[in-house]
Amino acid sequence: MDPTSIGLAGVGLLLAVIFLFRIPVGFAMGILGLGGYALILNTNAARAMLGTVVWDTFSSYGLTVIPLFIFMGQICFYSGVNERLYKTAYVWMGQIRGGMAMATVLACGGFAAICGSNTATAATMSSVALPEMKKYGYSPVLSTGAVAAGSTLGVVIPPSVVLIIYGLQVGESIGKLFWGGMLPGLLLILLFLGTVRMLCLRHADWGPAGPRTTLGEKIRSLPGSLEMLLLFGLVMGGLFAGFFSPTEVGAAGSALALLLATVTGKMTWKKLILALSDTIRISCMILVIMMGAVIFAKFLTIARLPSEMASMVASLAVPSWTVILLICLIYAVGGMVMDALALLLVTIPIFQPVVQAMGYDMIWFGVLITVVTTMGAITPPVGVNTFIVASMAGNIPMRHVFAGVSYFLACYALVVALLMALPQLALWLPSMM
Amino acid sequence: MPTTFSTRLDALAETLAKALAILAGIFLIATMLLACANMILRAVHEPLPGTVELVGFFGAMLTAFSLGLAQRRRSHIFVGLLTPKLPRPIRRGADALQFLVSCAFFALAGIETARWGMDLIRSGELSSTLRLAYHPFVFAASLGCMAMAFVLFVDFLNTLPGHARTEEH
Amino acid sequence: DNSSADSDAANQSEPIRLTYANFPPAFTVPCVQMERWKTEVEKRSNGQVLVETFPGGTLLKAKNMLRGVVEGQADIGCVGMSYLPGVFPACSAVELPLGFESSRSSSRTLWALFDKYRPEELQDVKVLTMFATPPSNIMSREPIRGLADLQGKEMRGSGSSSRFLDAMGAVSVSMPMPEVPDALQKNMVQGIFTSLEVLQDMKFAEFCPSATIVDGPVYLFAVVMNKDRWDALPPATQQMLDELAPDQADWTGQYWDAHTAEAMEWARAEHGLQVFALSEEDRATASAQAADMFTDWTQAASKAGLPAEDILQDVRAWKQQFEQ
Ligand code: NA
Ligand code: NA
Repeated sequence: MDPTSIGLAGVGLLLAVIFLFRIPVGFAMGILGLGGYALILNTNAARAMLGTVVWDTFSSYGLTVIPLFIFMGQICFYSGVNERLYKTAYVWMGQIRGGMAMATVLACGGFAAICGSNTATAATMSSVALPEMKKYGYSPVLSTGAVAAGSTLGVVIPPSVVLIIYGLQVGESIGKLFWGGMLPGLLLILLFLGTVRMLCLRHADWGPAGPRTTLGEKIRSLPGSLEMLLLFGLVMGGLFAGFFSPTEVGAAGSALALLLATVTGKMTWKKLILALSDTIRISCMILVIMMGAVIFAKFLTIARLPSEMASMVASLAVPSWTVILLICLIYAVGGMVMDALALLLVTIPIFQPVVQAMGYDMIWFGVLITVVTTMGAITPPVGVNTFIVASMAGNIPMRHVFAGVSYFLACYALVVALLMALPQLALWLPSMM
Repeated sequence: MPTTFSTRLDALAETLAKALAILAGIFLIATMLLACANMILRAVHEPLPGTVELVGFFGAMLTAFSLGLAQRRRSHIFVGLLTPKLPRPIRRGADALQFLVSCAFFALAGIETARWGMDLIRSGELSSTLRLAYHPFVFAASLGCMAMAFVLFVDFLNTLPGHARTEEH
Repeated sequence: DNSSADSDAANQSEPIRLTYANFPPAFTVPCVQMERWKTEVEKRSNGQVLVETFPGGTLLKAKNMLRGVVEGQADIGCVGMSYLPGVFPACSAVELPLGFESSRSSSRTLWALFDKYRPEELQDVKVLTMFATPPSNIMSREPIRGLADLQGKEMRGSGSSSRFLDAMGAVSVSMPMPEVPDALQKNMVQGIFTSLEVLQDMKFAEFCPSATIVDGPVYLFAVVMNKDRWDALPPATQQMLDELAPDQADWTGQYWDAHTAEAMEWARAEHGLQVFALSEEDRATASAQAADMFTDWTQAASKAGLPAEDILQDVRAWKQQFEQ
């Protein structure tokens, strides 16, 4: 078999294994990726690859910030900050069907403004939002779907690790790319809100409406949100003042949350240990998925699968919009089985000259593929965000989570279509800068 | 007395996982404190040199040392949409196989990580900023993988008939 | 599969396929020289040797490039020697703040050192070519006209350029490249210290409208090949690659210099780049303050059993010779 066929067989086998067996996804990707790599090169190379990938992934600076973001979320959870925030939200938005899911989408958008990674957003927002929505009787299908979809805003709304990597790869201004992601990100928020609304109109029991509240009750409920607003304000302020960088937000946020919880007397040693224990388990789970994804991506790279597909599309004699559509398709399908960043690193050098030659703007293209690849983070079967949300949701079957996510996929399709029809959506703000 | 023996092994796996998890928690707190110290010192004086690489090293310790606990508490997410459709004996066999192959994978990861640590000693490679000989961290990561392999092996034993814990989700 | 590739080598009718891994993004100079080497090899071998390139760290990253080539993860790899401190006690002499003015002279010096001493540090691989960057210079938010302006300023640097920054009185900050644009914009660092083509290649001119020429340390690269794969090549191919080696080093040096000049021209036109240079007096002060970098290198090199004084003397002589 030639390497590309081995690559295709590997993808097929991965899907079969993770659908059939109760094997953790990260393990399956690691084991099959290692086997495929050894088959194409040799066992020596595969063993050497394994030794360095484990260390590289676990010690990667970009990934080591994830535990701190989760820690921040867990401290807020155990000290009751989330509970009080959602009480306020319930008084204000609870009487609308699905109101708490809408509040969650908005909170994801807000958190995305301080966090550049969708895994960190998913981990934080899951621990913040899922237990609270459960308390108010929301269906797990709706709550997990809203959090998983909302967390992808982490890379569309600036700051964004995907846009940074893309900018460095193609040599475009990262500032302009960030502005380019702004409108599509806001549009996604609106569409997610609309989706929640429609789902709740069709399934009244998914997001039950709460009692009506008076203006007085609304105003009296406000102090409950103070802690979270204070925390968010401090983090946002520190970020914009340049007191810390986007990757340091997790550390600063954890420390501030811990300080706040201690000062207000809401933190005990027992809660701290619970928060620590949850944090290390969840972050370990995420890092192991990342490790598996990196190994599997190395296998697919050496199998030349992404580059063969990219070159094939690049060489097609079809209208330019068809090429763009096919590129989107590659990223959407590739995102199903491969880590988005690894996929971008392999394919951008091939697509960049093609897209430039067709006369497209590289800022526009960057925003477009960021939206498409971030969708890959929630699509089955390998959707890192979906996995994180599912694992934090406790004993909710995976198919419910994927079902919930699927309702939000149309929003991405719509934004992609709009971006193609109306490039100004990505280019207008950067052109103003 | 296979059951007593496997109960003991199970208890040993639990103790090992917990002990390493305590270290992981300490590294998490240390990472947070280090990053904050760096921010504060940067604002008032000048940044701590080598924060980036130390955060990376500490992060690696955090993950490697929490592998065992995450496995014991079944934190690793799986899909298995079709698993319920399989007949029960096949499911059990698949679980046993899954644990055994995963055990081999992490054992190999541990060995290869250690082998790479030996290469670091041989080549004399240092960390970028602090110029630390950082191979002890690499060996510690290898230890975490080996502990994970042990935990997975105990999980495998437990899927065999008549053993302490059986898997049913 | 390796064994089938080896028999390809014996059978001349089937082309030999080689994989070539590189770590920085595709548009950077190390990757441009990789593509040039590929074109040149495919041309000189009449299509008998085909090279498949993997830029952007997709096959191997900077930290595991050397080991990855030794272990056969890629046939060829571009090793950023400056990313592996401690591993190259001999070649790192060229990393010292000797004041190289161009990539051509630093590249030729590095190749000359390797060619003369054939140091043990590269014995596990076949060296196909070597090259080095142009000197590190300061790019900053505010004009830096002399060392006085630099005191206490936080500057992003890495490796030996960090030590030289500290020696000049700045505060070196290490941070991952992706964070640099944001950090510059928010004044977390006031500048960066590396070779000047990043003004255009990474669009740093947007944040750094000022450059100061200090001729600081250079970064070193070695393009290396797996020994077994090399040994399996037909002698004619080996000879062709050996002949290409110094030529490629020279080409890369010249290309890098020309590209840097272009980038500065672009930054002048697009962002009104202002260029300053350190006075002779400041240069002397900086050199004096960086003296311990030489002491440390000599110590480490001697400990590794190398004729440290001879190497240093040679390197200085080559620098002078190649800069005429
Ligand atoms: Na963001
Ligand atoms: Na996916």
